[in-house]
Amino acid sequence: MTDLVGDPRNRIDAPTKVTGDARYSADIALERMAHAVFAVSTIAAGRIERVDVTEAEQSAGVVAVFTHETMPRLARPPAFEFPNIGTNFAFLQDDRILYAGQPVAMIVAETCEQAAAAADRVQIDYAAEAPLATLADAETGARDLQLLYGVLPAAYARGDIDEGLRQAEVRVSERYSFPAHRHHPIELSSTTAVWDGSQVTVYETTQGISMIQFNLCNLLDLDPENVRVVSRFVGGAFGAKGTFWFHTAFTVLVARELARPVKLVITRDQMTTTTGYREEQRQELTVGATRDGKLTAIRHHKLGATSMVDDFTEGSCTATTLLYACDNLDTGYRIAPTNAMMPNFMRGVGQSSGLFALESALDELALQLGLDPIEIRLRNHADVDPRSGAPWTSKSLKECYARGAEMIGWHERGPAIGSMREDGWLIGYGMGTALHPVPPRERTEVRLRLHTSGFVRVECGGQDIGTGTYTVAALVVADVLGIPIEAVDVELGDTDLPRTGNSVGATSAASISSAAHVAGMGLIDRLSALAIADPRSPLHEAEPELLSASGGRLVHRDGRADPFGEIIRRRQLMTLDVMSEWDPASGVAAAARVARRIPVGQGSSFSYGAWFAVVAVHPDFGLVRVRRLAGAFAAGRILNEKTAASQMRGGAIMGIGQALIEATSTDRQTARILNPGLNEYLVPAHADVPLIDVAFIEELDENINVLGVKGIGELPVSGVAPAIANAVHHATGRRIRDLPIRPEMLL
Amino acid sequence: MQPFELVTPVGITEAVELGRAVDAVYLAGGTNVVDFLRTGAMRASTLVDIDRLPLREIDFDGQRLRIGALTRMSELAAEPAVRDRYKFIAESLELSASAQLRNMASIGGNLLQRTRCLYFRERNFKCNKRTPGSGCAARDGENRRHAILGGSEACVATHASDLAVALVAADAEVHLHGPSGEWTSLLETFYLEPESTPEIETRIGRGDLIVAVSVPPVPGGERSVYLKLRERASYEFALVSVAASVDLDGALIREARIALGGVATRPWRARETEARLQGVALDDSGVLREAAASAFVDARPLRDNGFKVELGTRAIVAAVRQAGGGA
Amino acid sequence: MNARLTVNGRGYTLVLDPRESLLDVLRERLDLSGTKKGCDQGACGACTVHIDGRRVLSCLTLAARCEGKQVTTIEGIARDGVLHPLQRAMVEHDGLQCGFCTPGQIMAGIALLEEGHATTREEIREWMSGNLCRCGAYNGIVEAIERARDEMRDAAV
Repeated sequence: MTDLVGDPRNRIDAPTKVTGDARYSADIALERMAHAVFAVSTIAAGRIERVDVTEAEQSAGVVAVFTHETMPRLARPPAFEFPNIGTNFAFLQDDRILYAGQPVAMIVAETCEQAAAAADRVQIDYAAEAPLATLADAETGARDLQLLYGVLPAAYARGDIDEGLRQAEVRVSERYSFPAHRHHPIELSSTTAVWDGSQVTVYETTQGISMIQFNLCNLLDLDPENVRVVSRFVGGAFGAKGTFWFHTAFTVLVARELARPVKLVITRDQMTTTTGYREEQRQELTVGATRDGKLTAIRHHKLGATSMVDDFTEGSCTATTLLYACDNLDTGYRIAPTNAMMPNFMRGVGQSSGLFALESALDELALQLGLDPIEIRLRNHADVDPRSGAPWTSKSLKECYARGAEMIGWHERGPAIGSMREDGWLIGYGMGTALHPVPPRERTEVRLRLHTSGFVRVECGGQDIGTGTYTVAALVVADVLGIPIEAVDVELGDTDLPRTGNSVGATSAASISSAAHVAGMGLIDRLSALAIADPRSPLHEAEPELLSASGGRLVHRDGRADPFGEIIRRRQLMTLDVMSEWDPASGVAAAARVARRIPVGQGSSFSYGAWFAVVAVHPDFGLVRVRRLAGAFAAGRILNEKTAASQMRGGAIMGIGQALIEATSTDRQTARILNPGLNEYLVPAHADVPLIDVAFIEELDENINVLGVKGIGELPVSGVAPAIANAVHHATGRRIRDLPIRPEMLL
Repeated sequence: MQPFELVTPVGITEAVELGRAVDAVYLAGGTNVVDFLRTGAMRASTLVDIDRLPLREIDFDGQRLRIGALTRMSELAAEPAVRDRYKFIAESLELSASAQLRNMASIGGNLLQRTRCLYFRERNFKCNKRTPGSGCAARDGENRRHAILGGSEACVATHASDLAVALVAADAEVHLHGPSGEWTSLLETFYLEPESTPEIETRIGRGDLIVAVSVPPVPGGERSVYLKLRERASYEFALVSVAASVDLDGALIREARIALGGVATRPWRARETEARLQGVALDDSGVLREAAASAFVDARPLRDNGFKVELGTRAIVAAVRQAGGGA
Repeated sequence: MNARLTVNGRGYTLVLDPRESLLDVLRERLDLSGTKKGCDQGACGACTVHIDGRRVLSCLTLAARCEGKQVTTIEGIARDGVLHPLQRAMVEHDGLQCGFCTPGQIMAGIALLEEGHATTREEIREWMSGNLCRCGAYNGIVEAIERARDEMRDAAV
């Protein structure tokens, strides 16, 4: 591939989506399928003393009602591991209530209406205890966190923080807070399970069909040969569908028990208490600098609310450890158990919350010192990884600042607070840095099947959650083989297909594209071998190094050519299959032909970006509207500019939500969530979103994988909230450190 | 939702006969009723489908506007006479809900809609409105969106209808047919404050059916304003809203009509403010501000909603200026 | 109760539970799964269909009350495989990512265009706000609506 920013191409799955033809997991109709729904707990702490399902069972159309007393047992208690961290608590297995909204019964009926009505009739007597609802209620019980995600050391320090603070001539020391956020993908989570003898097919809307398969086998003592998971289209996830949740396991068990297909759909309100969330959190941040704006010390500690039985908190301090060149640093985490379900990854994991604090503090520092916000960041630019001194495999953050500033017209802004107005509204400009690690990639397999017609089918087991995986796989193969993208067909989302990894942490584009690239090269090698050995081929006895793929043909440098389809037809083959396995380690080695500055495995890899926001604040009412948003990003090779730009905009909109709109509201008396549904948990709507301008900086990185793809899914969420908060400050002089920004804070 | 019988009366008389039964509920657009039946905030054994009754006409005779109760919100908002003469009514409608909901919801249903208080909508919270005598969880709970006016120890839930606010400012009347015959009420007094019986929200009796709303001329109506303040730029209930109509005599206010939403347990006519604005110059900021503040003299802020006093005051000032043709 | 529904020009006679929503009937009884259930509480717009040409939410519509009305769903929009200008424009302008809210956005967008509420970008945004998109394809959707509006206007001339 030559272009580092791939031409904008239409999503190949767009036509099937705009006609309503695409079938999502709950759209699968099966004969004799029964409908299931959960009844959930109304208390947040205590035990179920008595459960009476008589009335529910006798309701019209009911097939069965399962409670913790009658639900089949899991084969073993859950014990999950990174990266698909699940919770240690499986509901419907004992009488404990750990959070409000916890499923306490599964009702199965002929129609979903009948199931819902019967769910209302399940009678439960609880022995309720006083719950811990919010961080304010739970912080006295907080403890230090040892491991982040169960694998990484949570605390990190370098240099001498006290000395660093002593050296500081100016200092910002503040507290920043985030409420809990919900993913709320528009598609509800659901599982449809159908058994055929000892084999089960599970239609699950998920970010990881392999993860679902693995956990089902593990928890239910099933053989992977007998478990097929299908998820061809996923209606948004953002982390909600990236963890294994127990509704999947129980639906599979119940379908087996009842010897009928069962479809369980989680209701919108129930999404809030069954599919994870970003936790309520508080960050204490102190930054110290010299008068020249050089950072001498950063102390960043986070307190996160978590569940009663899990240690999960997102890594909000990670970005702080590596974004700026600062010799003295101290970061750490504390967690406080509350009566809530386990929090989990939500798009922009760790970085979006942590960078809100850090990028707001940098802004405050800049103001104190009379420095331009971009300038202070440049002065503290980390030229190498400050944690280890290792070189970056690539980093183009400065270019992102410059480009973003140009896009928004940064230098036209009047730096004085409240100096700009438009239509009577106060105008403010703000910026924030975005970053995300290039995560370790998973071993990925791809199969290519060439037909004599010249069409190529790509099969891989991953999934497309809206990120454009279908399109990425197609265009990489099309590019390598020199055929039009219309001649490529992609099949994804089925564990019967070659294995690939989960769509989490921005991994799948890189994994699948790398594997597809390798598979394509492998197909060319096979075709070359066939043609060279065939006396009837124009390329008989040609030198393989002189052959290349172009226009659906194998072409010799001297002009002789042989169409792909012909090559195989002559050998009496209707199709030719090539199966390739891409191993991240070998992928890097494959690029070893290219001279590189950095020895394999010794560089640090991150994607970066910069968001710039223009906000309008109503001088009387404190209403905040985002007028313009512009972002520049450096994330290695961009496979498809059109879908990548859409990803960036989507992430930005979640950032707008964080800054101005979104917040879970929990009643402190009962620890029940007051705004579980979409009428009350507000997310950005059309009218909240201005045109979002996106640019990609060309960046070549041959150290990370053969194509140099870093992944972009999570990157754009970070940096937006601080850009907006900083802009609000520029407009009003009010510094808001507790999100979301509300009108009454600006009156 | 629990099973119910769906019956479709042919005329108003038959509708009222069916509607007077215990546990019977009228069903027009259904946007409120279907939602509440599903969540269990409401129960009914019979749904009386009134949607095909002949109550969908809008008549304007040059003086008075008469709106059939089954008129859709979108239809009323698009009506030329409304857009021209009662601008704040059209605005209150178009700033409500979403386009789809406005196509479905009826005027009658909109006026009778229940509160959005989260403790009312979610079952198993203490709520005197849903379960009389059980208590009020909002008073000591999350009450940022609750009322600072018209509340009581028993209930502080805000009234949710934008249209009702504009109609109350317009001195609208509501016309009903019931078991005891036809009757009319000023809309403003049709709504009741919770006091000790928050489950009683209006003067409507069992079986009473709203058939029409009529509106007299509104001075300054062609320039009247519905100002709705909310965090999300659209598609959200009001934090604070103001319906304002101002009739000028030169540069002076001859008559102002002001009603408030988002701050009270019923659409709140700010009569003290109206009185103080009479004869005042539109650009007299000081007096405008004092008059606006007077609407909140009796406000009883809760833990989270005290900001509505200031926000409401500013909103009234802005709405009055705009309605007077100023900035 | 018996009811006769007309969906995309085709008649269906069904025995209905009065509680059944139009959304559930479309999806579970008629296998028209293009209309999506995103919330079942009137908040997200993913279930938008046309009844007698007007956009409404099928999750809050009781199916039994649709007798005598013309219901149009996303499956009824393309004619003989030819996409509506808005469907084409959505593909071109990447007005979708996961695609789940897409049928609802398209049904709302087509109605918006017919209502004449697409004169400016601000008006489009305001009048489309009943259709949530969590992937954040809003910019592309607005562009697609503008494109379709212009194409349809030029075709009418």
